[in-house]
Amino acid sequence: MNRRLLSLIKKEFIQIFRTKPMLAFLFVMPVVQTLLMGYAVTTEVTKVPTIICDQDQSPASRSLIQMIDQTEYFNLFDITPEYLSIRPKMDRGEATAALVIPPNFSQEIRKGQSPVLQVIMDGSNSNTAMVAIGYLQGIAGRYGQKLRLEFPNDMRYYGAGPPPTTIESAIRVWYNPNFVNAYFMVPAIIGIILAFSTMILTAVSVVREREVGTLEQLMVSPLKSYQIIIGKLVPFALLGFVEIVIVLVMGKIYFQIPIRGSFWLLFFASFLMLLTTLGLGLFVSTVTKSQQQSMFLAWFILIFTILMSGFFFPIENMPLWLQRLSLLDPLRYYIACLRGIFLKGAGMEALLPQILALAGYGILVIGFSSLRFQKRTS
Amino acid sequence: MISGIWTIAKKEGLHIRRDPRSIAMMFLLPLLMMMLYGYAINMDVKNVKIGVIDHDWSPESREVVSRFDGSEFFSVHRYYPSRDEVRKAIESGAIKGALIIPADFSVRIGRGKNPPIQAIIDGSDSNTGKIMQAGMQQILGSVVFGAGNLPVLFTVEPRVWYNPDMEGVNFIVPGLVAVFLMMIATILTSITIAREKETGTMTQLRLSPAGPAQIIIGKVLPYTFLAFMVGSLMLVFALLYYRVPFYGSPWLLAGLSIAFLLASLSIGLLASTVANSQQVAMAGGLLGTMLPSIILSGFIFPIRSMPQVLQWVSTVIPAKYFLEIIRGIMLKDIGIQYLLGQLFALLLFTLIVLAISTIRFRRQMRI
Repeated sequence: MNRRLLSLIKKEFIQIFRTKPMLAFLFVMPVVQTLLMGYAVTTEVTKVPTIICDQDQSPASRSLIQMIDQTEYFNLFDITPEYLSIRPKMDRGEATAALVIPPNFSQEIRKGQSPVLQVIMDGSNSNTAMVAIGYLQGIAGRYGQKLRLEFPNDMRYYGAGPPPTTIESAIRVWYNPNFVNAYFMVPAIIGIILAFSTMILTAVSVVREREVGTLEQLMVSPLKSYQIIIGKLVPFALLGFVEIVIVLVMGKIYFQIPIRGSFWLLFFASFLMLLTTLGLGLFVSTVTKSQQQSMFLAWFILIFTILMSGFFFPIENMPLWLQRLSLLDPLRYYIACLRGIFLKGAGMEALLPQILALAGYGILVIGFSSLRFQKRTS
Repeated sequence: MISGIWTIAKKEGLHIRRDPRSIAMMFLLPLLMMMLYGYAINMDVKNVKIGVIDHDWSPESREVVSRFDGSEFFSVHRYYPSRDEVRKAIESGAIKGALIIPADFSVRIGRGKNPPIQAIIDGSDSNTGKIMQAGMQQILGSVVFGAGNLPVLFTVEPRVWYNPDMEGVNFIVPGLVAVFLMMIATILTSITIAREKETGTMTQLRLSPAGPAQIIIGKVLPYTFLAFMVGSLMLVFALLYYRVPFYGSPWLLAGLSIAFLLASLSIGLLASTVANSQQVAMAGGLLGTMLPSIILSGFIFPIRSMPQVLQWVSTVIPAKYFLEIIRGIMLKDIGIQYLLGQLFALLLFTLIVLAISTIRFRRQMRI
């Protein structure tokens, strides 16, 4: 019995490795994707193309401009007194922000009044707009402090009365003190790649065998149907582990991401996740008739698992009904495990709910789709 | 020439009609996805859960905590008795940060000394971490105890154009149309030629009087029509369900979207000529488009924040240009004169990719 199963697994491997593009798909993809996501997936708002409309043209306005220029947040590509030149540049998308310094800016400061700066923002990218406005408010606030430092004897900049008591804050950043984006993204890429390769390949390869008619040959062979399932899934599971190792090595050596938690826990969680992704692939193959259908369905499930997992976008930001829906996403739990194990060194105790969810999900999905598969084949 | 193209297109149309389940999926799945992800994709960092250790428990300490709870950045999840408890809560992801108020907090304020507060941030999510840091600095810096007149302040008055309420949906939903359309187009054409190879009908194609270029164009046409219908449906859904504004010209958008569809369909066609089986063609086509179209197109992640190499790569992603087109027309009401560059890029892309496909295909026809 075991010999038959082994020869089936061997046959599957031969089938997988027969095509060169498939090899590239399996081994080059993790590397490319890790690089891509380690570098490109960042929502940081930097170098916002900005026009400064300086209608005051005074030392005070110039020192404010210099202060904005020193941050990495804004790219001051045009400084002009012309208010009307803003609109066409915003329309064309050349500028995203414009800061208007009013003509009486320095005059108001001299009088001890608080001047108002107008900011025009292209709101079509709402996130960039909000963050950039926040940055400008911060800079405007700091500009007041700067004046007080530069002119310590000029009481205009202080107001009257005794100095108030303020809080001395010490902010500590744990796990990723320099806010390196790759630390957050690269561990989670393991989850994406696992879902991507194992699910699609399982789904399409089973449908293909049915389309070409070789699945019937397997069924009339002395193999039992659970053996066919194992024989189909084991090679993809092994390949999944190989891809995990590829990303792990890249993350450790190339991105130098600390792995603070336990390897065994990582592999255990990955095993549970594989049960789910392989099971989903099998499920897709039982409800579709052509390779294109299975591709469409696999694509749909894949997008759902990726977008609802908290990989790109925090789940807490979603409306409540979508947050509840995201509880159905196995990748959500797996990514929480990956990030916890890598960065926080989280152990079984902290991750128990996630591990339990993954285990329950995996057993349920693989059980259900195996039953469906058996029913369809018998 | 034309009649050859037409025959191939008709034959391909028959193929499409033979698989009604695929057609149903192609129209229904994108709508379902639009419904889910327009709201799911939300980059705003708001109401981040934090914990508090308050060793002082005075009116002053509660004032600080209520400032945090009242701000839009943070919401106070609960109080914790010790640092160990906080560590556990952060490890499990229940909270993303914490405030630690020392026991002598109010005593020091009474003496007119500046009291300390320690704040902890879970930095693993670097983006949220940075925004939390700025938020904490802003709040802790603005809490003032005791009297004193206000100094000269510089305030910023924002005026937001095109999307005055800064609705994320208005930005995301047109983007979803572009990104999903690119993926669907690729899946559609990626099987066309690979299927002929797999089922052995390549020989019949070889015998047909149509040349390779005619076959390629004939195969693209019906899918252009199909993808255009899917795209229109998604757009109508966006307008009705999300009430996304549409300030510009629908005709201009329709015209430019055809250039985009041709570019996306040609990617699938290229994958189809490279691969020998449908499986490889689809997996390769999808892989080649799914992540790049989400990540490198400027759909959400600003291209200018990426390393230079990736900025170059982004110039060969058709969705990048279509995103600029669809957002520009819908939200900014800009005309063709601002979009000529994008149109040119899409046409050039189509031309090059179709030419490569035809050359490859011609070689395969000869064997």
